[in-house]
Amino acid sequence: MLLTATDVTKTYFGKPALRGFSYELDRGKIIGLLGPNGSGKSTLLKAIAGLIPVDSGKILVDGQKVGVRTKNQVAYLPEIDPFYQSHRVIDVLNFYKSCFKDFDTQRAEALLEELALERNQVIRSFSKGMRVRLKLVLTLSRRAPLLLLDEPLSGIDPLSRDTIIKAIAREFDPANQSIILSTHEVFESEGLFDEVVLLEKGQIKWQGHMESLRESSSLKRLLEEVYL
Amino acid sequence: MISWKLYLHEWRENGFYWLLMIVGTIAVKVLMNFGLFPEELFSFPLILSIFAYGILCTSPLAKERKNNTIYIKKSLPVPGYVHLLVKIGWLMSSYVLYLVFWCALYFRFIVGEGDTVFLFSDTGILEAAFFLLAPFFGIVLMQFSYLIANYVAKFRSAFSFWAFVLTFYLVIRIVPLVAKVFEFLPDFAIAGTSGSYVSSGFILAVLAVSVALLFINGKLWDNEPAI
Repeated sequence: MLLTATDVTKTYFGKPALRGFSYELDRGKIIGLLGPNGSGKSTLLKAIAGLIPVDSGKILVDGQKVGVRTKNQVAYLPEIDPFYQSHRVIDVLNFYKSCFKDFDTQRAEALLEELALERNQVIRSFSKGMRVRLKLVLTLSRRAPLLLLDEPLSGIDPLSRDTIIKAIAREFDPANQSIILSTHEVFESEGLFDEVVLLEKGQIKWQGHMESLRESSSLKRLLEEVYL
Repeated sequence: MISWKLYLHEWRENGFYWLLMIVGTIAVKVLMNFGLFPEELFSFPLILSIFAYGILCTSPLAKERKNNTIYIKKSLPVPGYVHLLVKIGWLMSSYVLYLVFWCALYFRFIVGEGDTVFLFSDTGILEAAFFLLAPFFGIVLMQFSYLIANYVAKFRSAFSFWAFVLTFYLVIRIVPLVAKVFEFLPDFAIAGTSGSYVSSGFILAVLAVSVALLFINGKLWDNEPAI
């Protein structure tokens, strides 16, 4: 299994974020992580990426307990903007290249061109959409087995969303990778998902194939209640 | 070498403050040359730089959190103590560079005419240990008090202050006990005194406590409950 989460619990200063979360994921799948605000999506992705510890339970990435070593196996795209504002695009690329052995510079260059970003642009001058696109370039340019994308479509105009979804679908390597993508833009990105996990109050409310979600009118209504 | 890249990164992110101190030090010297600043206060920039570096002990850490760049740092396959050691390395090396610059600029005032300059006296080890170990311990202690405060939801500043005071007190109590372990090692003579010695065990104890604190800080960094 690429990812195994067993009975994972996480609280933030007494407030529960994840409650007994268990899940298994193998290679070759794109998982849609859905749920309303505060359902624990970002917390789950941060815990898998090794950014925060869990209170109880365990998370294994490729059979290894989450820690420094598993950070080589996980490429994480945070929801917020994590960049050093004075850096240029090329500086960030060089930094990632020197920090991650699996960083593919050629892939990054191709993605930069496709997503209309220039190497010498300074991040301070970037719009929100450009920042998201740069985050995506950095994450997709890594040949890590597990990609965690936290709200990559948030605050993006529909045209850019389409470009981003296409880029994710094209760069995905089903033989070696899996992607967990959390989003609120369910109906725009549903074509991307093999499976969907619906979180509510830190627990899995529903999980299954996208087809069953489309066919089940009650689940569709549930999603519409949450997102519309 | 990720550590080296991170070190260069520290220069890029915080080098501005260092440059500001260099410019300030030159400005004071220029004012002094024009008689607009009293020569007796030649150590003023140095004292100011000590205060500035006191703030810089934790402000780069706080800045990472404030600007969300901590997400990048924490995603790297590097243990927490390495991140902290890189920050300590930058603080100490940049300060040594500043000191060299300050000494060069105010050389005439430091040594006086006809004086002989000894970079290290016959007790050079003691001086080197003091000048390297004291800041190292100070920075590690400040990092500890900053990081431990991230484990509470409220009153972080007050918690950080008391963590600093109590840990400092604990270290004062622990160091003599640890020093006894190294009692068999030779003592160092203190320059300018006849028959006064400092136990090398004391220096080693401070070093041991500082390194232990650095690793504790690394664990605190790795296991911060929320970012």
